[in-house]
Amino acid sequence: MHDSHPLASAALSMVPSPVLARMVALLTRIMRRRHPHLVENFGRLDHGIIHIEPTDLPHRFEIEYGAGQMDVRLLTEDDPPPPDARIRGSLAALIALLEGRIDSDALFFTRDIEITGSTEVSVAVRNTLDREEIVMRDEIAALFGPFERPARRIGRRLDRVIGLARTQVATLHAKLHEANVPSRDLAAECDELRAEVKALKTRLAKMDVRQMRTAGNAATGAP
Amino acid sequence: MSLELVCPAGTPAALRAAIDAGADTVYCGFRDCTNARNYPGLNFDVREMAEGVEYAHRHGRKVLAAVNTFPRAGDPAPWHAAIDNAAAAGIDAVILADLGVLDYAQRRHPELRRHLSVQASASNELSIAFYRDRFDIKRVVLPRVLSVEQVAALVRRIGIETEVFAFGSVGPMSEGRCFLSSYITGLSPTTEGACAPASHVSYRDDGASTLSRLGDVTLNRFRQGEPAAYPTPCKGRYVTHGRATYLFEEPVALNAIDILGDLKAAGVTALKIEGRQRSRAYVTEVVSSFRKAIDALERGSNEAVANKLASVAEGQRETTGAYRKGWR
Repeated sequence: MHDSHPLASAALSMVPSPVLARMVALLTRIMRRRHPHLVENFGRLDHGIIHIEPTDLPHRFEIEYGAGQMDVRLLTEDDPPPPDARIRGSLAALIALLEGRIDSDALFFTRDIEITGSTEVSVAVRNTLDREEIVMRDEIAALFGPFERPARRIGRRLDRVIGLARTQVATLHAKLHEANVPSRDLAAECDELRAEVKALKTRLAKMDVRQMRTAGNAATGAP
Repeated sequence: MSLELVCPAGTPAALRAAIDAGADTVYCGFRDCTNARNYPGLNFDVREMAEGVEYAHRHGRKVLAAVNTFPRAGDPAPWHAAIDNAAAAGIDAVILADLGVLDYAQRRHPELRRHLSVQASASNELSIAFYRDRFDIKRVVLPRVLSVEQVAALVRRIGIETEVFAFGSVGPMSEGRCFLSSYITGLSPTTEGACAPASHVSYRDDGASTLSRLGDVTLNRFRQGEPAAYPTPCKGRYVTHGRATYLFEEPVALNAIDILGDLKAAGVTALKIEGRQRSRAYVTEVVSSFRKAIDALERGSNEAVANKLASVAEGQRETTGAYRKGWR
């Protein structure tokens, strides 16, 4: 469904919490500067707090917004459960969502992400993020200040290497599961089979009634 | 004449994505109760609408504004403002449903092209002729209740353009007039613009499964790995005779990509993709697939366009719905 990104989750898992917290604060400042409409649109919403929980990371994040502001912070273990809403999913799925590369409803339909709590909050956050064209690689490259361009180049090269690996794995996966590729006619076929089973059941019920009647008649001697 | 591809945009980014993916026309709504997809964080303010129109026109495409909910008693101002703002933004047409809003648009902005929204539920010749003759509507968006043959019969008789749904959610065919949602939430989908207001939707995890709720009513329970449905009353699973089943509508999406030739032969003008509430990733995926299919149809190519849309379809299932009426 979406690309896996084991390198990113492995790397982030190793970053100590205090360092990651400072990186998140810096990244938020940069995103505020690079995406003024994002802050403006979050600021227009009613106040809300949502927790973002990558299932393959030991870290959780919080987005607080409304009343003209937007803030992102790293949560500690002692932070209480989210007051409003929570979205859980793999880091790759969450980044794909943030970048608008994947449809959140599709992820929800397949249960690749889990949403709990206030839907108003999660829908508002999803829609507000989807208004912006965010590429995480570029946002992270911007962290490097004057070294942004070389960082971006390295990021692109890494992406290419990871992309190639992903394609190879996806091809292998597809080959292994060729027999399982769902047919477009599957739904129609199911409908037909369902109708057939229903018709057979009706026929069987009628035969049962007829048989019972015949058996009853035989017992009473009626014709 | 090629089939016109009419695509949804809930945000300015989705509008650009739709145009870049090959939409001929994009439809969107203002950020309030005047459009039928009134969800938090979604839709356009006046400035964004004007910028969207500018972007579309620069690429030779059109933008339609949906002002397709029904004014609240004694409060027509938001609907009047939406019509005025759409006209000021240079919109190519407005999509309207309510008689009073149609009347206002015709009197105040006679030069502004008017389309009849699916929310008006005009599905027969007499009804469409009334809107055509009284409000000079140029196009009707047909409800999702008609077979291809019925669409063809209507096209021959009504003398205006027709737009039909080609992809997206399927409702229980009352088109925006869901009394169940109103009963459960106390909010009217027709005046508030949301059939399952996000403020009333919640999800609860009970370990083995997830429960979706609208207000105080549990609509559905999904086991781990089971495809989920929208949290709307029409997609709820209800227990009758001891068995939980989808009484009204199963989680399945309409997909007419394989019958575009039939729809064109029926005389349809435009194909509508549903989903202003969906992401720009959905918009890009669905619009580019339909663009390829329409172009292949125009070339007279027999090559089937690979249908990869099941992944964005509700419940991962697709149907041709009323076009084929396969349940009969």
